Amino acid sequence: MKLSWLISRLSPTAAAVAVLTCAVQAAHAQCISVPDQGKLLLTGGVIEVDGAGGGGLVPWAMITGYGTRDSVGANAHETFVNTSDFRLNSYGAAVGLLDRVELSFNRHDLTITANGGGLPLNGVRIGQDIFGLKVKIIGDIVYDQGSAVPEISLGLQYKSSNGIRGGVFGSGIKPTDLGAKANDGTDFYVAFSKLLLAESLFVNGTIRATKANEFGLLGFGGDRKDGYRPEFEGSVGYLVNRKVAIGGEVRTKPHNLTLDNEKAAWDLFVAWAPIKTVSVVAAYLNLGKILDGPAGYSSTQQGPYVSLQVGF
Amino acid sequence: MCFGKFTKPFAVATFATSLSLCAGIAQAGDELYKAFGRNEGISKIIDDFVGIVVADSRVNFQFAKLDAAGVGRLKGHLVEMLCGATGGPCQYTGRDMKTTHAGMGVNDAQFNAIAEDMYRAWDKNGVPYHLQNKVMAILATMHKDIATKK
Repeated sequence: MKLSWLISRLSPTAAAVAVLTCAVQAAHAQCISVPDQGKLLLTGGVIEVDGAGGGGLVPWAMITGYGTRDSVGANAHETFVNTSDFRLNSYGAAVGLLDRVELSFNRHDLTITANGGGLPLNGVRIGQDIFGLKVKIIGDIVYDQGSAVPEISLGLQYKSSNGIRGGVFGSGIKPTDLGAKANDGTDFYVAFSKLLLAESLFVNGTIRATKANEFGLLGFGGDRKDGYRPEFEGSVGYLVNRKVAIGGEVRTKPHNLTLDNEKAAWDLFVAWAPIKTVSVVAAYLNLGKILDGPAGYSSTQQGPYVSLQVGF
Repeated sequence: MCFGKFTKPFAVATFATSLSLCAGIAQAGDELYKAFGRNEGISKIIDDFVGIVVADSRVNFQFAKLDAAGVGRLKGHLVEMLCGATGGPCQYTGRDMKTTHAGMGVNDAQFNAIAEDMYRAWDKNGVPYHLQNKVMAILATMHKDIATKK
């Protein structure tokens, strides 16, 4: 598990964050070095597949962790996705500062598995690193119950390819070798989140400007299109009780590469937070058809999504 | 509407207006008030809630100066408030939230700790979770007048 590795690095990170927060707060003549874990259970969201605070596929407006505006929060997570022909391992860590700024690092390791049986790309591995920044602009999902104003945040995710290697590609090629216009790229998004507490209902809408092919794993831009396009990402959740939420999400994606008939992704999830330091998400994930055509992976890529998160 | 008085910072004028409407609305939809056990159940909830808060080191120091009479008054006001928030036929006779909490230095973590303690008291008294949220949605709007410390 990479999770234990992440946790071992989270403590010094948190200490550094606390010192940094102190510097920011010096003007207030106080210095917060202890995480307060002051938010209500689940109200910080979990970590989405690109490493930001959110749901499973979609970044939300909330700043990750349980730190209030007086404190800090942080999370490490590891996520496994296993579809018909692909296995994705996503892991990373994120910190929330003063319930205002979120910094995240996330890595994707994707392996094309033998599930499809003897196809040429079996054994190929694709990886990328994702650096995220999110800033809350306005609102609070818990306190703003009397108004229609959502919590709104702006974010970006810089994604850097770790190449495509293994199997037929041996020591490796780059996304540009498959027709992408760039190996690295940056997504920009605005997220609107609203908790309708009286209805025990959570809704989120995120608009993302992106050129990413398959979350960035196949690079940015392509032969069909090479420009930023607005894509929509939505989430709906229902609070079953204080520890469990269920819901669904959808995330539209560009179709830039001829060789990849890229489709929207969607999921149905159950999130469980037995205590503030641990949460588990189990989901059914559907990525549509990937690499339809020449590569032969024509079936819909669907399967389980499981994510474990620890933090404060 | 009946809940209206709690979505505002207890302005006297709003209060008088809403209370005059309150009785009728409570008749029409007192499902919440019933679910919280009417006056008897709400008094029990507040007794439990105060017990939970006193044992909660995150917030109990805020109430350390209260004597027995003070705790009695606090309970009485909390019963009136919860009764009103559930649509019950009660009149809140305490000071407005802003005045009451001025100078207490309540921060978000303390406000949320109180919310968690309130949820616990509701759980203990068998109030269904989704009805709990309907009342918490009203109490949450008091945040801006209570948790004024950044």
